[in-house]
Amino acid sequence: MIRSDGRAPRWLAAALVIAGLAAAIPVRADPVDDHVARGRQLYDQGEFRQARDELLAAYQLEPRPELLFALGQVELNLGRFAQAIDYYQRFIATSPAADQIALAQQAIGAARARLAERPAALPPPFPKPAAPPRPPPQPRWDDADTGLVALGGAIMVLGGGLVYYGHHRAGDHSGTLSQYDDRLSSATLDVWGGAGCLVAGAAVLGSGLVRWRLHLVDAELQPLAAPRAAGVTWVQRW
Amino acid sequence: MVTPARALAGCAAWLAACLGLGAAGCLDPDYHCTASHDCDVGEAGRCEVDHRCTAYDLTCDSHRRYSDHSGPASGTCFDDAVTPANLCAAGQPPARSEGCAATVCKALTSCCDTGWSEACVQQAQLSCSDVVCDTRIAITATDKMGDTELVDLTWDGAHWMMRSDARKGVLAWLAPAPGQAQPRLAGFAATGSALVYDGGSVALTADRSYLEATSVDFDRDGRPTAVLGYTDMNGNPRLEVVKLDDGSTRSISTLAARLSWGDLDHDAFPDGMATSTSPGSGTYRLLTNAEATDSTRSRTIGAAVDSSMAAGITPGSPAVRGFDWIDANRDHRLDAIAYGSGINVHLGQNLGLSDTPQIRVDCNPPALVATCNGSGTTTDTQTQQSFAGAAVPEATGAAVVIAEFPASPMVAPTLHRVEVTGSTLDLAQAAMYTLPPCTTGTCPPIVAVVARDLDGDHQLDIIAIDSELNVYTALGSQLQLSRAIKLPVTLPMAVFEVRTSVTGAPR
Repeated sequence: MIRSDGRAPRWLAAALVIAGLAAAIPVRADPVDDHVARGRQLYDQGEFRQARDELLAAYQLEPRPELLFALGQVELNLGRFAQAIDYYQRFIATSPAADQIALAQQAIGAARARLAERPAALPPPFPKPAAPPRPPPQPRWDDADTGLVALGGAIMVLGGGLVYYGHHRAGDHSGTLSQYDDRLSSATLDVWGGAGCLVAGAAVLGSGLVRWRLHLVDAELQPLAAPRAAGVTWVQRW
Repeated sequence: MVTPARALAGCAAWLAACLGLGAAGCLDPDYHCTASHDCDVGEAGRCEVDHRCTAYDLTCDSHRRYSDHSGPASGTCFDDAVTPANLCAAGQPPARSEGCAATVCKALTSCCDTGWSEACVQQAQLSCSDVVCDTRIAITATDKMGDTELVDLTWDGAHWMMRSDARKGVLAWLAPAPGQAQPRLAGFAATGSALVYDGGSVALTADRSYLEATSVDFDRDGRPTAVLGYTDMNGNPRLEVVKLDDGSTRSISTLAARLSWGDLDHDAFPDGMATSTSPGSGTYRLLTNAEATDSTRSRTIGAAVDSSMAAGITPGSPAVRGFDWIDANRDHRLDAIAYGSGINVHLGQNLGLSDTPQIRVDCNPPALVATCNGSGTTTDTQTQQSFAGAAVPEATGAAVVIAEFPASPMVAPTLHRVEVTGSTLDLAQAAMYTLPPCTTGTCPPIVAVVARDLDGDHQLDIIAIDSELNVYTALGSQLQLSRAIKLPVTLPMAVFEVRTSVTGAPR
């Protein structure tokens, strides 16, 4: 009879198998035997993961068929029913004795029942790899910056020209004092207008630079995969 | 990333802005005129010697204020005061009150307020240990027919030197050009059509008869200015104000002979004295520098203020020989003295000089007119005596050296040194100079007297010239005149009068 949790029969089966293994394997100072002995001890202590590791280590050294059955039992106790079924089936495939096949099939039935009873316990998810550190946002020069700087530069050139022209006119001492006075009045307007343009131009130009400097953009490259295409897309976040 | 190019662009932009603002702030209007017609803003605009415009402004002593756009001077009162490069030459603009000039101006305010006159030079020689001058006397000797002998006489500190000059009319020293130290000897071209002076000439109208050439900052514009006396083709006396830097001239109708410049009314503009071109006229005029009432606001001579010698003309001598300026009553203002058929002293008053002299001297020996004509101690009448003379400022007072010109050639000439006491001449205490013995029996009279420091001892010495052009000197307080040099005389007739124009240069 198979209990619902299948623990006693598995324990019994495992004990049988392991006892059989112990009986079948000549006593010798063998690393495989050492792993098997530690595996049995750990199994008895309920340390199924360590017991599996020991059994796998033994199987690596010497792939004895009965170790497959023992691994199936350990996986069964770990709740990894599909892996247990796989080990049992691989054990049957080694053409053991009929009673051992029957025992394996019984174990498979129990594992399948557990598997049907609830979804096989998923292996613990691998820890999600830490996302690569996002690069710090970077200032990026764009058309608006170019426009602002170009506009500011143009206004500054205009202002500089006006200042120069005003000074040139103020330095023209020809004519009478009243003519000079008139000329100076307009030259003063030129100069101050030019100075205003210089300031305004510098402000516009500076705003372009400030905008560029403070207008940070998250930027990363993501691969683009498609059945018939491949490339890179620029993804940015404002 | 802040790339270097972007950082550089940003810095350049701000730098340009700062420079632009700076450039706007540095707009420093400074208009430079070339002629007065350029200065058409404000009333009676004038282009000054510094090529900046001024306009008429009665609130300034000079009646001129710099127009806008005159650089750092904008809006300030125009002042043509200079630091004379030569304190030994008269006829220059007023001096800045610094150094020796400050000392001089403490004694004579007009030297810093009105103009650097011969009285200022004499005061500088007395007061300033660093002022040692040579002495240059331009001599114009005239006979009764009007022929002239022109001699340039110079004392260089060790020797007398003389040189006859071929120019016509009058020989006179003009003030140094602005910023220069050397005075300029001037005379009129033989044709009378130009004033010719050291380093230049100015074309004149040929149909005039020029009598005088003087330097004075008549317009208080600091430009080199000569004021010439002349008679026009109709015999009318005129003054001609000549700007030596551009040759411009303008005429003023007034008396024009024996021009002498000082300060009558303490209004910061130099005033003068002149007499008639007629040797027989005892009238002379106080030439008050006044402002034209028209829109030009140019300087001219105000309404006639005439005075005259006390009485009749001494035979053989001009009624008025010339004028002198001195602070006789120690009020730090110039007083005027007229020499000729008498001696008239016009003492300065708060309101200027009175046309009525406060002191009148005549007779032989010289006496106040009130005691002349045989009264008191005098033994002669006014008409029998004429005078030449010179004002002699002293460290603690003032004196007048008086040379008699007796009507009778048989009377020996005498020279008196008379102290000014209070507001009168202390004629009773006059000191007598002695002259060398005459070689021809009768000594020629002294017809011109000059007071200058010849030997650099900061006392004024006396230079006297007789009618035969013998030159005598007496140093300091000495009363012994020594013959120094004999000037050439080629005139066909006896010398009637001798006019002197005195200047100097540092030595």
